[in-house]
Amino acid sequence: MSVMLYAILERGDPLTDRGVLDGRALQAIEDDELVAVVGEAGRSATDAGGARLWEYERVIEALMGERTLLPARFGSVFADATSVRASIREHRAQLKDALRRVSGAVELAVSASARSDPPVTRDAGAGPGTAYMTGQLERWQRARRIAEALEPLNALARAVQPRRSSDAGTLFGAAYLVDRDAVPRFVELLGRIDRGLEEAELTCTGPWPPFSFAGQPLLQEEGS
Amino acid sequence: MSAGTLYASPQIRAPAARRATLLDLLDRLLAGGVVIHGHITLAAADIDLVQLDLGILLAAVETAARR
Repeated sequence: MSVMLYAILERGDPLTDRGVLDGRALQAIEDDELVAVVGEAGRSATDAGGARLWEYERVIEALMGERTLLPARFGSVFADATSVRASIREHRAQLKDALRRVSGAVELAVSASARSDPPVTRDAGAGPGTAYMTGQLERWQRARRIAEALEPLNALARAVQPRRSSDAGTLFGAAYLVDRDAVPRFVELLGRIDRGLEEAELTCTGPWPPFSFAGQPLLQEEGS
Repeated sequence: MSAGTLYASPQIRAPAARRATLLDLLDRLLAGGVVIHGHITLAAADIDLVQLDLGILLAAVETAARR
């Protein structure tokens, strides 16, 4: 029976069935100090529809409430439990390192979008190519100013990962790995920065499982 | 704990903040997370996206061949 991987956890007390985990056919595959949580990979398990993605995320969040974990990329399907165990064994050292990096922390996503279109500086007689390049330059300068304004957030984060957003209107995007107890201070500081920032609107979402800090993809790092 | 919008500029209306959360979800689940396996399987409406992509490619090749 093929299975879909949800997350890799530190080995510990048995997972409690509560909330979103209750009633789900999840299986814990143990190997050394690590545990892989998998679910049956039925026909609809890998359906990348919005409801299915939220459900997947809620399961990982519920697991995150119990233990430090590395979330798996959606759609990681294995032939059976034996192949999951073999993959964990192969990457054991890297997985344990990654778990240490994210222990006790959550991921916060910060993005900035323009409050209004930037004033376009155009030379009389400039062609469309020049106008396009001038616009790109102004956008880049704007993004750099926003990144500088957000720099104080770095002091409250263990790690920062720039993220390219799929939203074309986003000028800046980054993921921050933040200690759980530092989240309120992070959000409060973000609000203060936002109030002083005239040219962009800030949004912060989370707390997310540490998707951007899971040390992925391990396969590429190994050149395979 | 639940992943939602923690902070949004006062000018950002609720639907925009919800859209930001959904985009963040997509970015993370489909491009983030640990990968310890050789391939990822995604599907849409019960059709594997890999097969869907191959279908589009085949259609394109057939169209090109007719020209």
